[in-house]
Amino acid sequence: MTLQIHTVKQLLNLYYGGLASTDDERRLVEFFTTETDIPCELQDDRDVVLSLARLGEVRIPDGMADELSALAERLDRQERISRRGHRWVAATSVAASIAIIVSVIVFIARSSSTDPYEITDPQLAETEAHKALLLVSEALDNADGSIIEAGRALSLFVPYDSISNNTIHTEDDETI
Amino acid sequence: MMKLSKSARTLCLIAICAFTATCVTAQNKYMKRVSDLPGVQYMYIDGATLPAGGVPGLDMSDDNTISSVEIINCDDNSQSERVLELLDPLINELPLMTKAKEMHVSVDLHGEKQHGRIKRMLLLVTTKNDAMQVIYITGDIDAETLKAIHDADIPK
Amino acid sequence: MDLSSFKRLVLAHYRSMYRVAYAILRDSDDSQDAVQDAVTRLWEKRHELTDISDHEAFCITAVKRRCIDMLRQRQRTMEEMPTSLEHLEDGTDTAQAIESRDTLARVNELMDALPEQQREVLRLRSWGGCSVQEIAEITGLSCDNARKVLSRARQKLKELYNRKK
Repeated sequence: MTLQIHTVKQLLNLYYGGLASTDDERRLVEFFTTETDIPCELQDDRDVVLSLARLGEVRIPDGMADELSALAERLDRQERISRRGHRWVAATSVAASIAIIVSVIVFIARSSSTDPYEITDPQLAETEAHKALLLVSEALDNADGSIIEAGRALSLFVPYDSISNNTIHTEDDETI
Repeated sequence: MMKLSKSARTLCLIAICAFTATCVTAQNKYMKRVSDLPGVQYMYIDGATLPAGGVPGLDMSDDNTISSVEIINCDDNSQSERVLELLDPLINELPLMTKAKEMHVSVDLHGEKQHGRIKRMLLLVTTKNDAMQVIYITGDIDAETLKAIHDADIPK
Repeated sequence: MDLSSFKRLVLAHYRSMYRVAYAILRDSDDSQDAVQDAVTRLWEKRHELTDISDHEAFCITAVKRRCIDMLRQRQRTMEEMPTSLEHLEDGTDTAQAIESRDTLARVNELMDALPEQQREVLRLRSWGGCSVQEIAEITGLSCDNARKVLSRARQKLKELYNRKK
């Protein structure tokens, strides 16, 4: 006998008292399952203990193992994608932080350095800017004058009012 | 596609803005390159340095603004070709508005004009001995007002 | 812990996990959900599993916790225990040990005769392997009362079985 009978009786006392641990109950089930020569006084106990254990042995749905395996694989895949994503986010954040720091340093450096060519005296700036604008203004003015002269020259050859929309209409109503 | 968290997105946006801000300078990069040539005089005037009222003939309180004026004077004719070479991208950016040549002087005016207002102008003045003056102005100036500066200056 | 170790140490016990879930929830779909949820949870905590010696007990505890949460969420309906024995698995050691299905059917029938609370406690203990504390948590009884109900249920069952012979 795997267990002594008195041990089994002790376990049964605990069992019916609601005091047996799951391990004790497992030992009882194991005893009643494996032992062939059960004393008569324990046969009812065997039937009750084993029946209660047996009634819990429900049929496992088909394909459950495959479903759980697929679930685990999916979780693994998702985690790997997520980890890759997190690495990118971390790298991007670090790069962005470095870019900010570098930009701030460069900005401060540039702000603090004085450009030797920059005119800071308002009086001098005004004078030089005025001179520059005069030159530009003259060039623009001359350009306008040239356009008017060109129009007059063209009008010697074609009626002035036929010069429109950048085309010239001849007397024969042809368009040039 | 990887999704950035909200804080990572904000961080990236700040980084891009900060970086862009440092890249943007008032000086034109082509003019700056020319200024580094030997024998070239360069002047930069920030619009903020000019008096609030503007310059004679151009009242800046009247919705006209000058952002910057850059002036290059090159007396060394050995550098003129190099100057033009370095300014070529800028010249190509701005449409030619007028080109005039008289006996000793050649004047090219390139400009960007939108709805009667001038945003950028590049004036190239070359004299017979290849001395050169380049003026580059940025801002937002009414074209007629700009023309009138010259008229106002002509003694009546 | 990598995927293959997880399958070997955790998924290997899915049968026990399902039986326990079924004992508590009395519904096949819910039991499968409970097992899947428990597996997901175990996956998240798989790094802790390397220090565990009894993985089966750990997995069963995980599924029990999930079942208790599910019971709290849904309205617990006291379902009747199946009177037929078709849901039982064949080919186990205890199946072979019980000489006839008559015995099993008889005990099953006698359980129906027990008060509802005793039936439930008996089921949670015998089928689900729930501790007295877990039974107390599921049923709302105190630990002491849960133990007493279990004791009375078993004694009553034996008494009825003896009488019926």
